[in-house]
Amino acid sequence: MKNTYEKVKLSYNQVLLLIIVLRLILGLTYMPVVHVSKGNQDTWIILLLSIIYKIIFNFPLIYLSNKFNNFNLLEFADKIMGKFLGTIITMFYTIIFLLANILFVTIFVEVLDVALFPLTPTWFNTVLAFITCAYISYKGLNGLCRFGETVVPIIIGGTFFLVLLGVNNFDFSELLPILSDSSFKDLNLGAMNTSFRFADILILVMITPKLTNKKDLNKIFINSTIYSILMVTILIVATQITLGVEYTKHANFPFLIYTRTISIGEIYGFDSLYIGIWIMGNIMKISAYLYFSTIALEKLTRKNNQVFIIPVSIILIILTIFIKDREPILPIAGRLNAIIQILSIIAIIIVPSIMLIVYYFRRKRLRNT
Amino acid sequence: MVSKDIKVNKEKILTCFHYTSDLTTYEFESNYGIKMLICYIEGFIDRKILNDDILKPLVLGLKDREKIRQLIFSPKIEEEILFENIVDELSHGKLAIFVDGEEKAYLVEISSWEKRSIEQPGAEAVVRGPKEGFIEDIAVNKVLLRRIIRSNNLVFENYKLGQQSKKAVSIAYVKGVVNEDVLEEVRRRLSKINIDAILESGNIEELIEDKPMGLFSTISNAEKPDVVAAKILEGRVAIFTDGTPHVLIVPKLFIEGLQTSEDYYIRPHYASVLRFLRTLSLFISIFLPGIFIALQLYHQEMIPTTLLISAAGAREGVPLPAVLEVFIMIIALELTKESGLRLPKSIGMTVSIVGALILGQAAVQAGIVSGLTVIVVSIAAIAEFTIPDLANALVIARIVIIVLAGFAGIYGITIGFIIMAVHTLSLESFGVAYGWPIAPRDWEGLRKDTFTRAPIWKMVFRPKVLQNYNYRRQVPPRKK
Amino acid sequence: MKRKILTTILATIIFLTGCWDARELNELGISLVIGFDIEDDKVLITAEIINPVYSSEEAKGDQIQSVEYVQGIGNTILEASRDITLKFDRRLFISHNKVVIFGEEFAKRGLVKNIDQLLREREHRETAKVLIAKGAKAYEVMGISSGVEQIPANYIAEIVNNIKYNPKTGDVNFIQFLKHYYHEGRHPVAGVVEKKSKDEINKVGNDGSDKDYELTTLGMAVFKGDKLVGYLNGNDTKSVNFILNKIRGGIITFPTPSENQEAENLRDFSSTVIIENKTKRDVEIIDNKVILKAKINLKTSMGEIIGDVDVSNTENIKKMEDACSKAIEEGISLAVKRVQEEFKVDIFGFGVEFHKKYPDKWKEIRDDWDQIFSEAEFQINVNTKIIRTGLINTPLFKIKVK
Repeated sequence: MKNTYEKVKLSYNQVLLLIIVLRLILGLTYMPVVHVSKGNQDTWIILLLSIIYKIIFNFPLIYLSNKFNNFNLLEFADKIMGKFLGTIITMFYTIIFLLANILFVTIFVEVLDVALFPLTPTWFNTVLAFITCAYISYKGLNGLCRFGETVVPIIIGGTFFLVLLGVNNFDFSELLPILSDSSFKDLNLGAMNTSFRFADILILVMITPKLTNKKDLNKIFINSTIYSILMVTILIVATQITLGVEYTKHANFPFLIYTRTISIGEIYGFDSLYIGIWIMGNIMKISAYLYFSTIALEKLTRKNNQVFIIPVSIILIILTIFIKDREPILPIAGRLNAIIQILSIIAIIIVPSIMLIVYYFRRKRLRNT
Repeated sequence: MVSKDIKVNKEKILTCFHYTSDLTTYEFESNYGIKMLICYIEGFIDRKILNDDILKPLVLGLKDREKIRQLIFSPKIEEEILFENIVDELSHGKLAIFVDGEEKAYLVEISSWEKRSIEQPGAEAVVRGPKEGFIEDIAVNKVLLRRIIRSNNLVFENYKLGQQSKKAVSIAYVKGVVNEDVLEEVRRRLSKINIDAILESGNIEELIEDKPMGLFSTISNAEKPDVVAAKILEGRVAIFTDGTPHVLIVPKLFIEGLQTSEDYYIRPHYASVLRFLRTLSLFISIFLPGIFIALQLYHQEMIPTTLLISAAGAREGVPLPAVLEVFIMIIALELTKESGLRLPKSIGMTVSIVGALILGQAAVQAGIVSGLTVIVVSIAAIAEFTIPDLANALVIARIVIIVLAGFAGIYGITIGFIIMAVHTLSLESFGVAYGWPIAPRDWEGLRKDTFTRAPIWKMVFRPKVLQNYNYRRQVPPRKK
Repeated sequence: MKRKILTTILATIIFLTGCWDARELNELGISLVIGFDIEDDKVLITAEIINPVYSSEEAKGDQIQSVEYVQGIGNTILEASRDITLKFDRRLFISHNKVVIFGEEFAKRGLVKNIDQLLREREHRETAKVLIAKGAKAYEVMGISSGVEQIPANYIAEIVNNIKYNPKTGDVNFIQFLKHYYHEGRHPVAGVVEKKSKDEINKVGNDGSDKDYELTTLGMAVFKGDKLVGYLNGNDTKSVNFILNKIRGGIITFPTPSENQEAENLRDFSSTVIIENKTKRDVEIIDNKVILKAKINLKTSMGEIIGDVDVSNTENIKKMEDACSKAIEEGISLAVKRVQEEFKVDIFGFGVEFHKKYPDKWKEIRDDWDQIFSEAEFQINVNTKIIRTGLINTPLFKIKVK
């Protein structure tokens, strides 16, 4: 079993599409911005504001990654902070990856159980999902990114096709009156909240050394942010103006309900079609996080990363079944909202800021590397 | 070592060949008293040339042992000392001449044997385009190729593979266009083959390919010289094998399965429609039975209401679960296909009638399968026949998708699709990415020759992935 | 070695387990219409299930009923539908429901609170139409099929779909109902279905008492919050559809404006066929009084003229347009007045317009909006344009000059 991590060369398009789909799927699934923030019909403003906040908050990571563009996040953590602190940071990020993985898998399995298969036990769906993700992790970044390059345009195209089909039911007057029911402060809080939720910047800085053209990093970051948030905005707006702002808040998975209202003549079941597309995006996301958690483990223990794929998968399967078989996930996600926020803030803002400051002081020593 | 005494030589040759009955040894004497021995294998030799050009001058005029070369009329005479090589060459159809008193043997090339005539290959029929196909004789095959590429840059290199079969294998490429890395790799892998017999190019294919357990094959084969010529002019390497008309061509890209040679000889718009149809039939053939099962079992809400009611009505009398029904139909389909191949032509008509009757009306009326299942499986089968290149993988993929659909509905189909897609896109054929131009995306390749066929005067560059340099193929005549 | 373990696990998973969710087609009881009632203070569900043998090839000649009816009782909808499983051999499958009929009593109790199950489970389609059985129970209305369709549910569904030919009916599905319910300053409406006896000449065959009745969906049901308060008649429904901008087709009939005003001409009517309609609602505050406004732009084509008007002449066309506009204005004013006086609920959505235009003031008056609505003045402005006149120019009974 060769280690496929070393010889991989990725192009701009591949990484761009990968990051876009990682962000799109979260926004698509349960639209946290609708439930958590206080914007009623101004949710689109929240999303557009979050572009700015995202660029601001992710600045330390991008800056560091630009300076060390031949190393991924864990490697330059080692370089800047020294061996001991670097190992602690690596362990921290491993746990972040694993937690993110569990969160996504539980939501994935919950949607499947609710929307498609009410009687199937949890372990069946989970095991099938992890078999696929383990297989993709074996194939490494090459397999994942090539698959993404082929399939992500289909995902995006399919989703927008579904939006187009529902044009008859659109009623843009739902979005008026602007800015009257929520204050500007509320909107800003909501925007900051949203920009923490997308933790996919970590994946981007782990992929950096594999890019063929290192200068693309900034372009990828800004382009993926703008594109993905624009797409999520269009989807949320479409859902809100078809279903009504209030009903969207009542629904667990708003876009799914939106797809249930569209029809072509006699054919009605577009939610199953949408689920097929959505499964592909979600599997890509879970595989990406699984793969990078094994890379992080590889760095800690210096063994080949493919050794870790099956044990980590089995642990995650057991944990998922443990959590899912006891409680439905969305109330938990609501309860753990604070913990998720804090962890994201630490992982994306605080730790990189500390590294940035240390880098600033040690710049002269590190200039030779 | 050849000895001076021809009787000893005769004994030795006969012992080496274990006294086989088709080895002919003939001792004779020339008019001037020199004794000679000729050995050859029956059936390899042209009798007329043997009599007229070899025996006659030798018998009539051999005075001096040294002067054999001036008497025999043949463009290729070799001298050989070692017995192993003489035995080897005798098996390849040469005539060995031993002269009493000389310590060497003369090997003369006068072989001719029965071969099939050149005719249209059965598996690759075209409406427009040359209808010649390769035959089993490698020399004739090489000539067929050289008649198309009459350039001095066309190079053949010979190998002999297999210890018992000692098959003549040649690789062909166009120097200056070929990808040197691929060529080096081909040479390396061929030289590593160490097996007792190569019977067909399929054996070579399995021994040198990248992922033998993969779903799709990474080496393509062709039976027509114009196909091989087009492919090696894009930078590929062809491998000829003696004894089989199928020529291997490396490296292979996935989209080549969707292309036929006829696409390039007919008008581009029509060729684009046909390409599109073939891409569609790829998906139909793999996914249609699975989608049919998934919709019936799990997602009945996607079926339009009137269709659902008539489908439910049709299922009332049927005893089997849906998955088993489709399996029975597929097994029956494969049985028909296989028996159709193996039958003698005289009973062919009966089988097609019997098959149509059994699989069609009677099964539906007896209540074993429902009519809709028969239609779906037949469409999938017809779609499979439009792309014969990928057909081997399609059948397996189809069955896997049916099993997955039966257990997990559209979730299973999506998972199956993901695993197959990731597997296919990470294959590499001799260092070249298999999924090009779809996965390592190349817009030039996608627009010109994948799902549509651009006119010839627009295809200015060769596929970039197959070359190290030398991309430009033409200067278009229609510059604006 | 790893591969062997993986394959064995996989194989055992696949072969040891069954398929939990797979439902063969012959286990389903496909129902196309459902009715809900209140019976002895409990919920009664009536489902109309297709008999699939009816549509299979062998049974085409025999007299098999095309549908079966089954009922269940429980405290809530879910309990009632599970009650059916002990009486009927197929599992109820409601994904193909096109229409849901609520009995009048059920609607009076409060709709939104009790239909939680229909929206929480995945099987029910949210685009099913909501109909209230007028003055009857739901199961009395189901089972009547007097159209060409064999299955009664299709008959009902197609009648409801005919709103594009005649806007005197309400076409509301669950999503729209909920949207109207959630909007502040607005109350929802729903469609109506009523069983009427056929009083024309009984030319249809005499087999069974069901053929003497027919269903009609004329009218609309008015809700306050989620409780039913009353019904509107056909003309008022048309006006409400106009204001709500839900007109997709239909005709306007008005008295022909001809020059000679004799008594005969009072019986002459003309009709125009609606091609396209755009309505704009508006609210204004003048001198602390709220004025509700609606502006309608209509594009029509000439349907029929009974009377002495020659429409090849643009003046006459203008006269027709004015007459049409006047008829519409009168009808709509009447309808709004009736809603204001009889029901006192704002079903038109003027509250939403107020909220958009004066968001600060809305915060003050949002609780009294219904009262303010019923006292507000209503102004309407209709602009009709006749853009086609058909194949004939002068009326048939006039003889053109030779």
